[in-house]
Amino acid sequence: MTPLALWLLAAVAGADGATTAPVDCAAGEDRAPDPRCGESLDGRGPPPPAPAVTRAALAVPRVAARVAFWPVVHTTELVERYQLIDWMDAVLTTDDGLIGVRPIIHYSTSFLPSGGLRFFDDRLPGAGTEIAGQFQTAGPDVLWSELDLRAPAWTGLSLVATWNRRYDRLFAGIGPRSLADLDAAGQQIARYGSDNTAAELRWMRVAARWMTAYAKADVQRRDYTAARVVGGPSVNEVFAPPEGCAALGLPAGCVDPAILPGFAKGLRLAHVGGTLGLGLREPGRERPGAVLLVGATVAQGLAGDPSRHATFSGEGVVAVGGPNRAVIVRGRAAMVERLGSAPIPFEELISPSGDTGMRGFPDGRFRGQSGLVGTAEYRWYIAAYLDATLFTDVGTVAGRAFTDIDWGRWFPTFGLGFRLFRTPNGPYWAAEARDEVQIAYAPDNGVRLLLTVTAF
Amino acid sequence: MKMRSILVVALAAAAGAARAREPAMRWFADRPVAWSEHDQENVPARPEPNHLQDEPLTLTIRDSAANEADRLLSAEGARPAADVNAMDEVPCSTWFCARNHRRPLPADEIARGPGTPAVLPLTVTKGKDEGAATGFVVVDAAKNKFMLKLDPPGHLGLVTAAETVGYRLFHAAGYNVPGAHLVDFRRDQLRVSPKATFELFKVQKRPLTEAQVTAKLQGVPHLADGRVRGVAIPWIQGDVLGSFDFIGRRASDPNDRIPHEDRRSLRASWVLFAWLSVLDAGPINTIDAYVEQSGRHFVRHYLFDFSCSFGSATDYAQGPQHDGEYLVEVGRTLGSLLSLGFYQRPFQAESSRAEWVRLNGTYPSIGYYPAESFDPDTYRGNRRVPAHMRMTARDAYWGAKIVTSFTDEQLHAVVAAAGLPDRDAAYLEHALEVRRDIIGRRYLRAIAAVENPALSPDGGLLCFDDLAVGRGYAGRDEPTYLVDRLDGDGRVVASFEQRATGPRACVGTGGPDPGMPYQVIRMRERLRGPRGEAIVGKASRVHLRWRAAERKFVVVGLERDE
Repeated sequence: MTPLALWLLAAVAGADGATTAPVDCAAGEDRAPDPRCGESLDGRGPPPPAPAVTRAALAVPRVAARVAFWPVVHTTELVERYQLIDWMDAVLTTDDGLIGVRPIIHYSTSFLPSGGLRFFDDRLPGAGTEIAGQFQTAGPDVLWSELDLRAPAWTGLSLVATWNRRYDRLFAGIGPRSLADLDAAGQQIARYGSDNTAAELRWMRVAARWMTAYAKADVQRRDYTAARVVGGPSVNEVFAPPEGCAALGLPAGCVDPAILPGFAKGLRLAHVGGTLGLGLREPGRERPGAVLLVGATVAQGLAGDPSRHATFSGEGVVAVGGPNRAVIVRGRAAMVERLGSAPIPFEELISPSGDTGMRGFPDGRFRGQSGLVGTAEYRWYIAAYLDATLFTDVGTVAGRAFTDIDWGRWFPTFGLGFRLFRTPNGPYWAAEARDEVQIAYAPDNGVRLLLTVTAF
Repeated sequence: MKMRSILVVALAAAAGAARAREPAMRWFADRPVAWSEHDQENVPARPEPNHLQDEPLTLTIRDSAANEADRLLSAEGARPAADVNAMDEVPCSTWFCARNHRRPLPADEIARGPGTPAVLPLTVTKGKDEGAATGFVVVDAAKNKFMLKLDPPGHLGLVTAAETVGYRLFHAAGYNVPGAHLVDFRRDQLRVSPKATFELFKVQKRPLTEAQVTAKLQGVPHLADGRVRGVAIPWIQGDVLGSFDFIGRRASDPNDRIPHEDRRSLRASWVLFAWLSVLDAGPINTIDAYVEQSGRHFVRHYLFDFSCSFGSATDYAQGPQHDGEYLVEVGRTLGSLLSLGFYQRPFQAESSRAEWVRLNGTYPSIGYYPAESFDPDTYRGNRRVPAHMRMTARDAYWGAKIVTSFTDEQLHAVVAAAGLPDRDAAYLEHALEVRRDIIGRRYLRAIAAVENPALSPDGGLLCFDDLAVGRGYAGRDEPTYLVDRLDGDGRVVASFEQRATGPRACVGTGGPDPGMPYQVIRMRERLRGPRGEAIVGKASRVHLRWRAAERKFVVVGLERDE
C-alpha cells in the first residue's frame, strides 16, 4: 500500500500505527495512572470523539484536501530532502560566491516565451565592479545576449553590449490605429525579424539627494528580415508597397519604405544623450515621493545610413501613500524630431506600448513620431512577500510634436498584478520586489499575461 | 435539491461539532495523582531518525495549509490535552518536567542555567552549516563540544542575549534545553583545527581556514576591548535522531505514546514563545536524542535555538510583521486582496512602524520587542505549529501559570546573565515583566484560576488558591465566584455566588452527603472587563468522591473548560 493510501485511510480511521512497550500493570488502582498500562494520565480514559455524523459529513472534503496537498507537500519535501536548490546553488556558483549563473524565465503574451541564464562575476577589484551577462532564448527564433561591464561605483560608468535576434517582432503601422482601423485598411498586426547589435556606454552620477544625472552613448546595427517570421503574417504580406517592389527597385518580398523606413537597408546608428532626474522616491515597498525625468538623445546614421534625428522625453511619477497602500500616477511623453532630410527609421519612432507602458498592448503595437502614456496604479499589501496592483494605462501616438494628436483616440488598459518580494530581512516596507506577474486587458487587444521569474 | 442536501450536511456537521465542544462528565478515579509519564522505559533498538530539521519549507506548507485544512475538516474541536494528570498538571516526562511554577527556583540557579560554560581557548572543528546565525562548531579546552554563535553586524547582543535568556527561561519552566553561556574571546583564543571543514552551500565539504574564520569574525560586532561576544551552546549528548514533530508520534519509539499535538507541554509552549517573541518555533528547532541513563536507552526531547527571540531574526533585526503574521496566511491574504488592502493586520498600523523605528534605534541589542503594546491575541510566529493550533484556553492557562511564575527578581537575574549594555538590559527586563503581566491578565482571568483545591476536615468547605488574585492579575476582592454543585451525572443541585476575599478562598460544598458519592464543584469567576463591564470566564471543576472507608469526601480531580 502506498504512503498516500495509508495516509488517506488514516484520515478516515484516525489510526497512526504507534506501538506500546509491555509492562506489568497488576497494581491496579493503588497506584497512579500509568500510560504503560494503557491508562490516560488523569485516569479517566480518552474524551469522546467527534460525532460520527460530523466525521462522515466532512470525510469527502477532508480526503479531497489531502489528495490536493499531497503532491505539493511531498514535492517540496523531495526538493528539500535532496537539497536540490542547494545543489543548484553549488553547481552554478563558485566557492567564493562571486561568480555564478542563475536561471531566468520571461513571458509576455504575443511573443515567444524565453528562458535562459543570468551570469555574474563580482571578483573584479573596486566596490561595485561587476561583469554580468544574460542569455535568453526561445529556440533559433529568439536569441538574446547581453554583456554588462560595470566599472567601480564611484565612476558611475558601465558598458553594455547586446545582441538581440527576434523573428517575432511586431508592427501594426504608424499612428493610433485600432484593430478596426487596420481591418478597414485590409491590414493586420504583422511580424518581422531582426538582428540587433549594440554597444552602449552609460554614466550615472548622484549630484544631490534629489538630483541624478544620466548620460549614454551607443552604436547600433540592426538588420531586418521579412522572410523569416513567427507569430503572424510577415510585414511583407501586410505592408507591401502598393506599386510593387520592382517599381521601387527593391527585391521581391520587400516592404513599403514609406511605412517602414529603414527596413530594407537596416540601421547603422550612433546615439548620444542624457537625462536629468529630479525629486526623490526612496527605494523600498510603495514608498511615497515624486520624480521628474527629462532627457534628450541625438541619433546620427553611420556607414551610409542617412538617419539624423533627436528624441526628447519627459516622465513624471507621483506616489502617495505608505507601505500598506499606495497610489502611483505616472505620465510619460516622448517625441522624435527629424534633424536631416532622411525619414526617421520606423524603429526609432516612439512606441509607448509594451511591458513598461501600455501593458495591454505588445511592444511595437503603436508607433508614432510622438507618444503619450499615463498610468495610474493602486498597490496594496497582501502578504509580507506579496503585493497586489490594480492598474490602468492609457496612451496614444501622434504625429510630429503632438500636433495632430487625436484627443478622442486613446487606448486604455486595465490590469491586475502581483509582485513577489524577497523575504524581507527586517521591516516589510524595506523589501525589494523580485518577480512579477501581471494580467492586462485592453479592449482593443484582449488579455495579456506578463511574467518574469528569476530563480534564487 | 442539491443545495438543500449540502445545507443539511453542513448543519449536521455544525451540530455535531457543537456537541463535540460540550464538556462531558467523566469521573476521576480515587487513586494517586500521576506525576510521571513513565516514558523512560528501555528502548533497545535506536528509533528511526528523521530529517525534519532540513525541511523548513515543507513544514511551512504542510502545517500552514495541508494540516490546517485537515484539522478544520476533522471537526476535532477543542480537544483536551492528553499529557495532563488529575490535578490539571503535566507530569514529568522526557518532554517536560515542571520546575519553577511548581517549586520556585532561586534566582541565581535560574541565572546559572543548564549546561557548562565553555573554557577558552576554543578550537573550531566545523563551520556552522545549518541555520542563519554566524557561528562555528567548537571544542573547548576541556574537550567539550559546543555550537558557538555570534551576533549580526550592528547588533551586539541580539543573538547572544536572545540565546542566553531564552535557554534559561525555558529550562526553568521545565523544558529540556542544552543551555547557553556567553563566551567573550580574543581572536587568538579561537583556533582553527587543521581538519576543520564547512559545507559550502550546505552540500560541498571544503576545508575551513584561519583566513575564513578571521573574515567571519571581522563582520561581527566586537566588545569595546576588542573581544568578540559569542554564545556557546553545549552539544546535546546522545545519538541525535533529528527533530521531533509537533504532530503525530515517532512510530519507532515505544515510549512515544501521546500524539505530540495533544501534549499540553507542546501546545502551551506557544505562551512561552509568545512571551519571548520567538520567531521560528517548530520542528526545525527541536532535537530528539537517543540517550543512555542508568543503563536504559530512551529518547529525550529538546527545544533549542532561541536566537530568534525578542527582536532578533538571527542574522538581522525582526520587522514588525515577523511577530504578527505566519508565512502562509490564506485567509488574511485573501482578505487583504479582496478588500483592496483596507483589511489590515495590527502590525500594519502606523503606531507599529513608529515603535519599530524607536525600539531598533534605542535598543539595538534587543530590536523590536514591544512591551506595553504586546497583544497575545495578535501575536504570531512565522509558521503555524500543529500543537500550537490545538492549544485550548485550558492549555493557555497552564502556559500562563508557568510564565507568571517568574518573579521580577528572577527575570532580573536572567537578564543580567545576558551581558547586555545597561540601557538594553533595563528595557529587556521591563519588557519581559510587562509581557508576562499581559499574559497573566489575558489567560489567568479567562478561566477560574482554581489551584490546590482541598476540602476542610469536615468536608463542608472547598478551599483553593485563586492564582489570578495571588499573582496580582485580579483584585483581592474583585472576583465573584459563581459556584454550581453538580451530582455525578452533571445535574446542578445547588448554585450560589460568593465574593473573593483574597488569594485563598473557600466555598461551601453542602457538606458530606454519602447519598451523592460523586460531586463536582463548578466555579466560574465574574470579573470586571476593561470598560467596567462584568465578564464571566470559563469554569474550573473540582471533582469530589466519597471515600467510604474513611467516611469523607476527597478531591480526586481538577479540570477546566477547554
